[in-house]
Amino acid sequence: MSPAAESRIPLLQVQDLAIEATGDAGPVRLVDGVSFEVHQDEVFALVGESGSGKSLTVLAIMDLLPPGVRVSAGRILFRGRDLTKLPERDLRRIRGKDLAMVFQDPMSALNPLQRVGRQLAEAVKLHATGLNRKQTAEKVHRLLAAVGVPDPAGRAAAYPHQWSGGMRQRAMIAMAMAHDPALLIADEPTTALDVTVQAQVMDVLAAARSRAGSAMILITHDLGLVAEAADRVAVMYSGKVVETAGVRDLFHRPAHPYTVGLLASVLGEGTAGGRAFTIPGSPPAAADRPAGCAFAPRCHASLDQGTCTTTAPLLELLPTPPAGAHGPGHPAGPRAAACHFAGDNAGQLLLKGQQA
Amino acid sequence: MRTDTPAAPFLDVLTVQDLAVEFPVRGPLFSRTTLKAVNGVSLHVAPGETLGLVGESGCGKSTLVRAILGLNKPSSGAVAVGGRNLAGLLNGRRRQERARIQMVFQDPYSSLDPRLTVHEIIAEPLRINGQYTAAAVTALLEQVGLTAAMGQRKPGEFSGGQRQRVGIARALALKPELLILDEPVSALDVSVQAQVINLLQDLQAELGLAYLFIAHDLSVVRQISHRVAVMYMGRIVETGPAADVFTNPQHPYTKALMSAAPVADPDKAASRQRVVLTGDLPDAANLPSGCAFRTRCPQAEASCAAVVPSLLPPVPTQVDFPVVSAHQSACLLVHP
Repeated sequence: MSPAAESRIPLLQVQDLAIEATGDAGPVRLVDGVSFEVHQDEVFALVGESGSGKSLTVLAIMDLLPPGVRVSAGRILFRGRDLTKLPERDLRRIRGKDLAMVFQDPMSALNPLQRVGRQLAEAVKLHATGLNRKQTAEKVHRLLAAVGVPDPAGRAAAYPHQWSGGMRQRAMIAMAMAHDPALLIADEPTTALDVTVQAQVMDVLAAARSRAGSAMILITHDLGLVAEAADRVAVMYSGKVVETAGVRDLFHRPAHPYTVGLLASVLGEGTAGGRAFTIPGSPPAAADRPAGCAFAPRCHASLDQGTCTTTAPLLELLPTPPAGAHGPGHPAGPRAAACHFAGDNAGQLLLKGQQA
Repeated sequence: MRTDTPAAPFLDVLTVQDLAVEFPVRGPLFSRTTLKAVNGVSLHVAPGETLGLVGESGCGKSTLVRAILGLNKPSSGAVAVGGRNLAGLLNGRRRQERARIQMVFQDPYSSLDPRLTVHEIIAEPLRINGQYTAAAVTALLEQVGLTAAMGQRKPGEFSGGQRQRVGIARALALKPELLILDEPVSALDVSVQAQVINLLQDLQAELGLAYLFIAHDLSVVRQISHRVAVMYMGRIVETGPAADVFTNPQHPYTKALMSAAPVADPDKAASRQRVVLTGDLPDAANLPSGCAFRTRCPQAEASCAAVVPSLLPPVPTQVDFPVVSAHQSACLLVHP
């Protein structure tokens, strides 16, 4: 493929992805028709609460779904090749090289019985067989130095428990960046860390990514992190993408009532001392989602109960904001929302319902 | 940050005076040193008031709480409940006084017995104290927004937010005056966090409860606290009314904490100045001399290694009236 053609095709295309778990009462759809694209060089955030299916979606991309959970429909195209159809042997050539992942908890992702340097060396050698011992060690030290680990040679000889949480997450980032992946997947990379360490690790992640020119999928429930790091965002609710937009559009003109509610329940300067906004109720379990829109029982915008409780809304394109509405940097791309009443009014209805 | 005044700010529910908790640890070779997990902490909470205690993991928050609850023996200092020093009381009497303080834990999944019904979980403290009636349990369930019928289910059938409500109902059973809330919403989803915070504010208004609210999430602390104390390596480095600490932080550590917290606004996020600290927390068994924060402080000077700074009110400027401010910080750069 020529470089020009390559830049037009998205790096990753997830199309109508469905993920099922085998339950006692038949299969349960945990992820239900998710589609999105990730382009070269961008940070794409997947946002949602626990159980929304965001982690399963990226585990499916890495082919790391837990036992009993499988992709039941849809395609995952990476550089135009469908990962769901690829034999394990070919997949292994991509995973850890072009596709890499940083997990939430660096302690459980590292082997406690092996020195950190040896674990990094393993990741290095997996896709660079020509290196001898000395060259491998040098590469490991270079990788650790690049993520800001002081005294890389000394730290590489230590065991994971001798590393602090922030330093362990740096080691995980170094490991993921070992082969300059085209796409880096970071699943809640800083949730286990303290605030001041979180800021350090996010900076390290951004620097490593821009050095290697990698695109990133950032999975998080923290809307603050999304605002700081992402170019585009998809919001997931109960196994579906309910809204996708450029980061500025999402925060300034949210179109789905759930997004509006999520943003309104963020605590901050404005809400301090008063009552916090809340979305009533809690998300449904995957096994008993209501018919129609899964968010309808919690939604004030579902005035037309008939439509919302009978027909599941599709993710549909919204009118694009006027040119010049965005600052410099990445183009905002299209906005889409899955709501019968999507648009700037739907959200306001939700907020009004709360105040009344 | 709250501007309303607590209901009755007279006699403090909880007073902690110059508290220190030390643990013996093995040093290099055969040497022995002491780890000062809590090092001269003083704080007080008035009825109807929320004191937010902020600090990162390893700063001594949990040891402080355990010492207040009598689970760690302090090496010096005192804990007084309702003005009465607990150390001077006989065991039975001390237990009675301690019942005035109850605890809500971080993880609503592991802090509730999975084999008991929710009704039994809430009934347990009542039974132990001979106060059990089924009606009392129902009243507690309703107080936290659950129904009597829900009491017949087990914790596994509840969502995270509902479980935290059960934890709060259990803590309220013996009609305490103070709740210690240890990261009560950090395990919950964003939309559920706000529900629990609102419930806590309602209960405080209704029952005149005092809260010692421990969290690392500054936006949550800001939402619920009247006053704030910031802890670093066993010491309180800044304390004061929430409005003052959040709008005018004095200590470099407080400033760094606030600037590190992400802001949910892409435009503000792009433009704001951040103080990113270098390095990790120091080893608690081998603290730096002088100010413990100097190894990570972007403004540290040579003198910071020599003196341990004490908590002092801000230096008055000429236009200020000579009033004693409750906003104090422990930094040599603020108080040369």
